[in-house]
Amino acid sequence: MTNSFIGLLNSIFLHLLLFAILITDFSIFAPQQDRIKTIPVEFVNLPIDIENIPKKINNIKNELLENNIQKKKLIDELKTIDKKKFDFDTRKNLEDQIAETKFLNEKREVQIRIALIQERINSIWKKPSLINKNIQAEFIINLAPSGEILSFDLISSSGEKVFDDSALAALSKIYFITEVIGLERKYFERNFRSFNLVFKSKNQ
Amino acid sequence: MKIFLIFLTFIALSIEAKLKIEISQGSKDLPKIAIVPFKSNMKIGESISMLIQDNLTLFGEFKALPKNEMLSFPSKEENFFYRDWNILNVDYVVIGNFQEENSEFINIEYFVFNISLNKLILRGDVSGNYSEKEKISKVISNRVYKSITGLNGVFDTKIAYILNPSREEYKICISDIDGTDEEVLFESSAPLMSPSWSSDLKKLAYVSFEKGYPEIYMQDLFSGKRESIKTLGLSNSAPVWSPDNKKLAFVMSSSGNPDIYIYNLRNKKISRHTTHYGIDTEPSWSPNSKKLLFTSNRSGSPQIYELTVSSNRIKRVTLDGDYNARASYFPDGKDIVLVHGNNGVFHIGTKKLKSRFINTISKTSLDESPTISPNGNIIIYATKNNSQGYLAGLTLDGKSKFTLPVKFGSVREPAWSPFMN
Repeated sequence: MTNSFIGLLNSIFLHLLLFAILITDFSIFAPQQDRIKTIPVEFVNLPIDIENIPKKINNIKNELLENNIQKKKLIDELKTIDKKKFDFDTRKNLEDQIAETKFLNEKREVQIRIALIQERINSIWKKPSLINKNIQAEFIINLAPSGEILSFDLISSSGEKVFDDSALAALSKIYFITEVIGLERKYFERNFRSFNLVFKSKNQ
Repeated sequence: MKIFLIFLTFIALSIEAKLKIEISQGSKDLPKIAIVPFKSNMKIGESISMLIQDNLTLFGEFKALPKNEMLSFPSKEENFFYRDWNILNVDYVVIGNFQEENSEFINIEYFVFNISLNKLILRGDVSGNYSEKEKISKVISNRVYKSITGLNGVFDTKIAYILNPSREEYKICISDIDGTDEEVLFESSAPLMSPSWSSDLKKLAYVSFEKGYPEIYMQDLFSGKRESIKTLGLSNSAPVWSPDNKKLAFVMSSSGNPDIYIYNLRNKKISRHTTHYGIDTEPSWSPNSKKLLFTSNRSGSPQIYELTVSSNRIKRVTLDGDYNARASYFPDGKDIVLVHGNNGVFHIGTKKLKSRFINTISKTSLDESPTISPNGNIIIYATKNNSQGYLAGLTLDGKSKFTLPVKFGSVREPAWSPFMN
C-alpha cells in the first residue's frame, strides 16, 4: 500500500516536472517577451512634389500593370476591340459599297457580253421547225481568254437528233467568241472560262 | 456552325455560279441547200434535180443555191469535197446519179450532206418508171426533207378546194400540193362547200346545194360514185371525217337550230352531241378521234368549244377576241389553229389548248378556213384580194409566207389531205 502511494507520488512529481520543462523551454502558453523587437517609428513631414504625382501614379500604374500581365492584356484587348469595332463598321460599309460596285460592274459587263453572244449565235443558228415541240439541247463551252473555243460538248440532248445537229452546226461555224475579248480577266474566269449554252425550241 | 453555314453558302454559290446562256430565236435566214444536177447519160438528170429543188423550196423553207454558183458537180460520195460548199456558205448538199436508166426504167442513188457538220446524213436509192419522174422526185424530196428537218415531207400530198370561176359555177377540185395535176371532182351551178378527206384517202365528203338545200355527200375518189347522208333534218353541213375513219361529224338543223351530230359510218346511225339553243357548227376532230372542237355563239359571240364525244362534256376553249371560229387541232392534239377576229379584221391564229393566249400568225386581214399540213408545220388558208379569193400559206416558224398558184376563179375552203401512204 505504502509502495503504491510512493509510486503515485513519484508519478505525479515526474509529470509535474515534465510539464514545467515543457512550459519553460518550448514557451507554449507564454511568449517570451525578450524575443520581440520593437521598431521605432518617426512621423516626418515630407515636401509635396505636385508635378511628379501623375508620373508617380503612372509609374505605380505601370508597376501594377507590370505586376499583373493578365490584367494588362485584358485592358489592351478591350481597347483593341473597341477600335476594331469602329474600324469594322466603317470598313464593312466601304467594302460593301466597293463590292456592290464591283458586282454591278461585273454583272453589267457580263450581261453585255451575254447579249452579244446571244445575238451572234442566234444569227448563225438555223433552228429547225419542230412544230410545237418544247425541247432544248445544252452544251458546255470552254473558252480561252482570247475567245477561242477550246471545246464544246453536248451535255443534255433534246431527244431530237435534227435539233441537236442544228445547234452543233451553229457551234461548228464559230471558232472564236470574240465578244469576251477585253473583258477583265477575273470576270472572264468567273463567267466565261466555262459556261453552258442552251438552245431552246421555244422562247419561253 | 458559322463555318458550316459559310461552307454551305460557298457550295451553293459554286453550284449556281455556272453561267447559262439561252438561245431560242435562231436565224431569220433560211437554210441554204444545193441540189447538184444528178449525173445522167440522158437529160433526165438535171430535170430530176430541178423537180427536187422546186419541191424543197415550195413552201419557202429553204433557199436554193443556183447552179451557176456551184464550184463542183459531184455525183458520188467519193468525189464530194466539203470545202467546195463551205466556201459558199451552203448548209446542205444533195447529189445523185443514175445507177440504171433507159427509156422505161430508172434507178437513182442519192446522198445528202450536212456541210456544217461535215457529215453524210442520208444515202438512198429509188427506182421507178421513166414516165414517173415527178413521183420519183417527190419521194426523194420527202426523204431529203425528213433527213434535214426531222419531219415527214408533204410533197406528195394533195389539196382539195372549192373553185368558183363564175357566179353560177362551182367546182370541187383536187390537185397536188404544188397546184399541179388539178382534177375536178364534181361541179355544180349550186354552191358547194366544206370538202373533207377520209383518212384512207379514198373518199371526200362535202356539202352541195344542188337540191336547193344543203346536203352532205361522200364521193369515192376513184369511181366517182356519190352517196348522200340521209337524215331527218333539212339542213346538213360541215362534214368532217374522223381520223380513225369510223365516223363523220356534221351539223344538222333538225328544228332550225344547228347542232353537232355524229354519223357512224359502220352502223349508219346518227347521234346528237349538242343541244344548246345557240348555233353550234364547224366541228373538227382531235387526232385520237375522241374529241371535237366546234364553234358556238352560245356565249353571245362565236367562240371555240371542245366536246368530249363519249360524255358530251363541253369546255370553252377561247376567251379573247370577239370572233373565234374554224378551229382545228394540230397533229399533237395540244395546239389548235383558228380564225381570230377583232373589229372586223380576221387573222389566222394558233393557240395552246391549256393557255389563254392566241398567237396571230397571218398578216392579211380577210383570212379564213385554215388547213394544217399533215406534218403540222405549214398552214394553208383562203384569203381575198379585191374580192378574188386565193390560197396563201405560211410555215409555223414564221420564216416563210407563200401563195399557191392563182386559179381561174376564186378559191375557197382548202382541205389538206392526210399523208399518202
